[in-house]
Amino acid sequence: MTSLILGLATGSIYALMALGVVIVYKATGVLNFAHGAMGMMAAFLFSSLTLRNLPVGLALLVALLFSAGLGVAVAFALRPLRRAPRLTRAIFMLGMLALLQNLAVSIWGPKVRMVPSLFPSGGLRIFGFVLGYDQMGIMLVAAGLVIALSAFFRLTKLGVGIRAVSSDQDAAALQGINVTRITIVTWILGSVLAGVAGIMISSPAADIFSLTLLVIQAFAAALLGRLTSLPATLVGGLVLGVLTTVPASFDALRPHAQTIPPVVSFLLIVGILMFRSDSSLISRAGEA
Amino acid sequence: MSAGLRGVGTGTEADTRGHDEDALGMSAPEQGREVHGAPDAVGVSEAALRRGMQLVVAGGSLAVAVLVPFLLPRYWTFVLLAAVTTMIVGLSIVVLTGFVGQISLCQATFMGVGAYASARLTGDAHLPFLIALPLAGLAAVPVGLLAGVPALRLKGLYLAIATLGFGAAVQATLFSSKTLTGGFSGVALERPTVFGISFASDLRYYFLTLVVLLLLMAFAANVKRGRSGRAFAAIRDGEVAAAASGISLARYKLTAFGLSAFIAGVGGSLFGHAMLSVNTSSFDIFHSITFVTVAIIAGVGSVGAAVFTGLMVNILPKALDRVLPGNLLLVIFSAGMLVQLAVAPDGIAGQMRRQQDAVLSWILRRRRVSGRD
Repeated sequence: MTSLILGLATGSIYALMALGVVIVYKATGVLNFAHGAMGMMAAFLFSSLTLRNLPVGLALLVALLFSAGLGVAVAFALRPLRRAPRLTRAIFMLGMLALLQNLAVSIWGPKVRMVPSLFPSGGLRIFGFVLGYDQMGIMLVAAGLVIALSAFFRLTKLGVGIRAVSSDQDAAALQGINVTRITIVTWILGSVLAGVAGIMISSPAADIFSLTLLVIQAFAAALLGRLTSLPATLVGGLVLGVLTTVPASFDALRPHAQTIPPVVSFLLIVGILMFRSDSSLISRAGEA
Repeated sequence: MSAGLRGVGTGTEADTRGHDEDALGMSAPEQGREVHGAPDAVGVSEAALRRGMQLVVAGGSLAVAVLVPFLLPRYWTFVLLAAVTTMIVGLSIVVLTGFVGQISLCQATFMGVGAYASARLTGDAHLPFLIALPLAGLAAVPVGLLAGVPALRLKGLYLAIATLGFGAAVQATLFSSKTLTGGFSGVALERPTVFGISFASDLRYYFLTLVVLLLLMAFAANVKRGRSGRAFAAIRDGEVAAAASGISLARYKLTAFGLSAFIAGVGGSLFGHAMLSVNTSSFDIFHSITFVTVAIIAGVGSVGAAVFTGLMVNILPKALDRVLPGNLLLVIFSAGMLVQLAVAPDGIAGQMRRQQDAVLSWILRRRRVSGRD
């Protein structure tokens, strides 16, 4: 049971990561391989700000502002390639991954860093097991963000604009929607989501490389949500979280706790991609 | 570009007046000779010129590659050595991405299998290096086929995700296993001895890897020209059309993955014997990402483009090492890569081809102008 809750908490973070991937992919057609790296930058900035005795709240704000700025920068960097094939833009994001990772190593060094938790320590004892405040906090933040995002896409003009651009960029432009502005907003959203997820998953400690590689889990969760549906992506993240943490609670598999997430993610990715006969993915792969 | 070239004069006119041009000293002697040798048909002289230029570039590069270790300070030999092994990996990407249009984000995984296999074969089984090397390449083939299975249903982005996941999964299992690959402490490899000749020094081993690179390049060029190569190109240019003309997509895609894994496996083995030891982080997926990104930025259109991958991954950063501290250099390097990709999505090799075309058309234009005068 404890591991189930841990799985749901981890899964919430995967879901937040995946949501960022899905939103950006839907609106701009860019598969963001650097999503984990963008979250990593925010997490490390957050960590070094708190080490300099900034209050956690302020550090979080600064880190997320930085995330937003990073999103804008990436959006502009991608502009020359906006008519390029999807694969070329994905390769560009792979290069971005390398850039951010090298940048992080040159600023902070390759060592593991301590990252403070956003939530108080301790927890509630319910039905004999402990529900940590941090786990509750993570799940609440994730749920809150999913509800807020759904409302944003349905109720605000900007959100509807993003959806319009997602379904047809040219038609949206003809309707007078400023595609450039929508693209930038989307990237800010994606980058901030990566930042929130990166900061939450980093606590208590994290290193540059494993945070960067979180993008694989994010892709697996995003694919469970078929790269389109936000609620399905949330479920996908939770499922992935449970699948990766619960097996590690069995004694036989405990030594392999590090091994399980990438392997499960890979099996899920291949399983989803290969065995969907009706797949919207396959037909869309044709454009890629 | 070729349309512009085809519009340039007729071969006959240019050829009959060729001597005037030489008399005027307007063209470089080599280039002039190439044109004289060409038959009269339209476009053939262009092809001959192009082949001539390619031969000059290839021969020149080889000469540089042979001479350069003697010209540079000693520690450079090791850098060159590493660069050649990267070129082999670049070649494996040329085969897969350039020939067949498939993407793989797990080339370092294939390298790793080659290196670990070679460590076992030469270290534990005491096989001679010349036998272990192709076997190490073959050991990577089944892994390549496994990674290639998703390619039967997936293209582009989705194949990229699947191969990235594959690389991460192998990294977490096989390459982290203490029993199979030594995990973090890794395995040791020795510089080989072939027919009683020791290749222990950097310089000797460099020439050995260079020979292997050339052999593999010749092999890849042959594949490209042959039946498989034509099938590959057909798949790359349109899967539906290729399938409609009776090409088995499954067979040729898997062939390409196997071939690419073989080349990368050989490269990985050479890399391992160059570094003397490899461990879990030698072949992580960040390496794969670097290789593929740089290879695509360098250009995957031709066998020769593989050379650029090695130049850019190993030589360029080392050459600028004095100017900037290592980490910052890598930051600037990766930023430069991004700019380069935005400027020329078909890669540096593509850019150079355009320049070569510009030179060619300049030569041909000069001929026409002089012919009309």
